[in-house]
Amino acid sequence: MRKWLSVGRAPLLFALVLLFVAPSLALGQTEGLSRLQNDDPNNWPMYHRSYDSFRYSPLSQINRDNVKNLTVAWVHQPGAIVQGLESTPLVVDGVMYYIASYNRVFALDAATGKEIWHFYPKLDPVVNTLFFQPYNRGLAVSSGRVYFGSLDGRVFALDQKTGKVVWEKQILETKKCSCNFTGAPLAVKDKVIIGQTAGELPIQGKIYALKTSSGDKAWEFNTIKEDPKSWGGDSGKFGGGGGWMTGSYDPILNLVYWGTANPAPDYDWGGARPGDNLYTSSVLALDADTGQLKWYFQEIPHDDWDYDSGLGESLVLDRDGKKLLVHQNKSGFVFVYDRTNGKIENVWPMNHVYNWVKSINPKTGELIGRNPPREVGKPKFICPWIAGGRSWNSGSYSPKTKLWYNTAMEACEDVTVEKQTPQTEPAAGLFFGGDQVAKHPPGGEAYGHLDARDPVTGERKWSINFKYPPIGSVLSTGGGLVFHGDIEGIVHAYDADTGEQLWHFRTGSGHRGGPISYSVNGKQYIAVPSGLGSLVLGLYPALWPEVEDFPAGAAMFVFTLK
Amino acid sequence: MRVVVVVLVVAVAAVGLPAVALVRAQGMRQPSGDVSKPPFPLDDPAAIEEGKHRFSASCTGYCHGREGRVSRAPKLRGKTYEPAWLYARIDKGSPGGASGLVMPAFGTMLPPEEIWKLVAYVMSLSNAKDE
Repeated sequence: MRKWLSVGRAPLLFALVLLFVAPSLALGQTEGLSRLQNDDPNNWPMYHRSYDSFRYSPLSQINRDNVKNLTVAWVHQPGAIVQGLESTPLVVDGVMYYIASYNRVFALDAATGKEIWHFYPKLDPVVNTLFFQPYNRGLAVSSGRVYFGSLDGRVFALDQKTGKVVWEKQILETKKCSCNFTGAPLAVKDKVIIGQTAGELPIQGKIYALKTSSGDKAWEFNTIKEDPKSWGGDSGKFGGGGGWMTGSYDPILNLVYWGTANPAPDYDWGGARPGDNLYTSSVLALDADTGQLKWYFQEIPHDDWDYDSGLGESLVLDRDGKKLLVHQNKSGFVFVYDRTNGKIENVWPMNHVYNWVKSINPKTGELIGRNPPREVGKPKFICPWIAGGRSWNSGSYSPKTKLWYNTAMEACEDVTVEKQTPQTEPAAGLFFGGDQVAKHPPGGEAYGHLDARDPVTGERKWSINFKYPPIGSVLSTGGGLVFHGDIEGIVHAYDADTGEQLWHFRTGSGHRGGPISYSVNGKQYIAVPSGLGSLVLGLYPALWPEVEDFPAGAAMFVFTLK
Repeated sequence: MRVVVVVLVVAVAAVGLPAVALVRAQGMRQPSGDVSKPPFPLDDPAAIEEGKHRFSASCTGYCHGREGRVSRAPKLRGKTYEPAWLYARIDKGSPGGASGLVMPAFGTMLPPEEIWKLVAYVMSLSNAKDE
């Protein structure tokens, strides 16, 4: 399913990039390159910290030897707990920026937690009718502005110092499409890039690039290809897709890598959407300046399971002279690409329990032995469940240990496909085409795990099991530590080499967001968003009834050494 | 919408949600027509079946669980609800509270007759066992 379009030769591209970068440097537009190179270890300036999506902080003041002395420095509460706290905070030059439910944005003194400004947007009442609400996963900071996509389909640029609106643009017709923005934007040079929700809606999902100066649209990419072979009949009009999470960027190739969501309806009773349904459940390589498609790879052709490639990180990783891209979708399989052209280098399973395919060819990415739910009204047992082998939370790659710390959910479901007619009036209605009940895997209890793996080969160095599959993102640090919060509300610090737990703290509500590390005035901090909430949690009580009563919450916990 | 995600959230308004309050203050569309009573008997098998289809065709696994089975949202099986209360909750939704859950409002998406079919289906679950 690979398509190589027109990737330039790397050396030539590098030379060309230098030609364009040199004048940019002279103009002071260095933010992109410096951020990729992580040259300021004190900051966490974007959703995955760096364009390579490593979620790795090189800071080492807090390390294996002293992590036992971590204590709470401060706590901030956004005052909105609905759907918990799903975001990853940013820190730039001693100021923390984060977003909470209902798009509440805060700027805080990162050393003390004292508020510098807050911004509560006036949201359109249409938000109250949407499925994807009221959470948000993160912000972007660039050019003196803080950017976010709103629940009612706008993109905002706030003044970084004051929180005042510099510009806002209505990008989506939310009242019509029932779609919105919930993922963090990615700032690249003079643009901010963001994708929309669409995978469960009878619409066409797009990825947008807006000019940071004005919010004017620079380009957009429709994730539904105009191709009757790929979308039989008029199914493409209702094809879903979109790109609701945050991509990566390679400034040398000038390519943005973005995962796309599943097609709609999620399930196909046979004939709902004939064809392979491009470009859904795919990885796209887009020219950052023009949005032109350079290559793509469809990881799940004609996705029958809602295994959605839109989630999580795309690691931009160089190894043995190869430029690689490592990407996981909800199926639990990890795809390793040559990121210059989209050629498959390897495919390996993160999950132990799966039956949706027999295997995936590690040389071609071809799905072998597909097992789709198709029979209307008859439950079919499928692993992993619709929440995925992993949800949208991200792992973390440490260039120090060369290990990827990543979570997995070993749970299954009974899927019952139901025929459904797409509803577009008076507004788009949800378009799942089926229903599901969570089930334990054959012969055992469902569970989750945090693994330390080689991201290219999948070789496992250590693993820690959890009763309840974790849905929080992971942080690794130069201090040889891995931080991760679980559903029961405990944040753990592990030895990055061995997996030994070295510290833990009970925050009082479960973890869905992304922990980070930063430094202010020579002092290192660990920030941990705590607050249980997520659509996928709705699946848990069928397996563990007690999860129904796990407390919601929303609080930013920040730790430092005593 | 094609799905009922009747997240019957307990209305606890102690956490302070100005953004929610704003959404509520600006108001949702009032349903048209006479919605004070259902246009058909709520035990009408055809209405229940249509309500079941609308309920199950989307997303209930994320919300109330298939056929109202256990989920993070309040249970529907084996519960008895007042029809008018159910209608209002489906129509207006619930902005959330102490449970941290939210239920979308369906009044702008569904005509009153369709909401009543959903009410009929949920009422039919009152004798169902939670499995």
